[in-house]
Amino acid sequence: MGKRTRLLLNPLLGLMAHQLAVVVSRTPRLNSTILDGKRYEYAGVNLGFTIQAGQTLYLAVVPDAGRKDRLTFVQALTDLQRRAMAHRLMPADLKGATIGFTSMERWRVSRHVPILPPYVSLMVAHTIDRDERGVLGVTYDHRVLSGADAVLVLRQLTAPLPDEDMEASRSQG
Amino acid sequence: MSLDREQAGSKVRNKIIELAKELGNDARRLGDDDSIPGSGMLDSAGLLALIVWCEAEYGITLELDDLSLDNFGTIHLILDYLAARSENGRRHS
Repeated sequence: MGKRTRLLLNPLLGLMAHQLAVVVSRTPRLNSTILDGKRYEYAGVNLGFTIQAGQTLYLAVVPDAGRKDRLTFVQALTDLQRRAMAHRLMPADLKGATIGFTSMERWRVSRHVPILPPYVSLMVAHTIDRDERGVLGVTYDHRVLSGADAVLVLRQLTAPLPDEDMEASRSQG
Repeated sequence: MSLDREQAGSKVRNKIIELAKELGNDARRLGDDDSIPGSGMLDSAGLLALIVWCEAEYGITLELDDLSLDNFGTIHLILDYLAARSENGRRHS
């Protein structure tokens, strides 16, 4: 059995962002963009996550997020958050988002509507309101995705997390 | 070089007060043994900002495993951790 660590940082947002990446990787049409009137689906899921560092807002990117297990993803995201707060992100850390996740939980607003980054068609907007209720919304490009697609994402994000080990053994047959 | 606990305690406390103020919280009455996350004064982003500040202020680099309640759960524990790091000159486990 591995060493047990009493976590200082709540991993919930990272786990939700990871689940978004998993959901999108299973439904490639969600991972798409429009360019010169043509719709393109991305080959991989790069998850952009907003990080406020002082007056600077970064959209840091976890590449190939849909293929990472939960622990690897949360660790990668924590590393990005730390470097963002120290303003030590590299240009590559900010490139290539295909989907997005943002949270305003620290400000206890009931909802927020982010604008999509370039070439991103879907961004989940999380918050926690004054009554401590978690609230999920989604901004999406209606030229690329339908309202049903957005609902699919939200429903799957609020479903109980499957057991990662069970899923791995099932996929191995 | 050993850590001046009194000075470090004052700096850490002031940083927590500053970060809590950003969230509209008043952390001036936070005790040295009070749980920082449990007090609700700082959220995860605030805790992360405190970690990043500790790294810069004391010239250390923390491993992910170091980010635990046992090392950063209270002001007292932070000072213990920083003292161990300054004495050992290596990663505290």
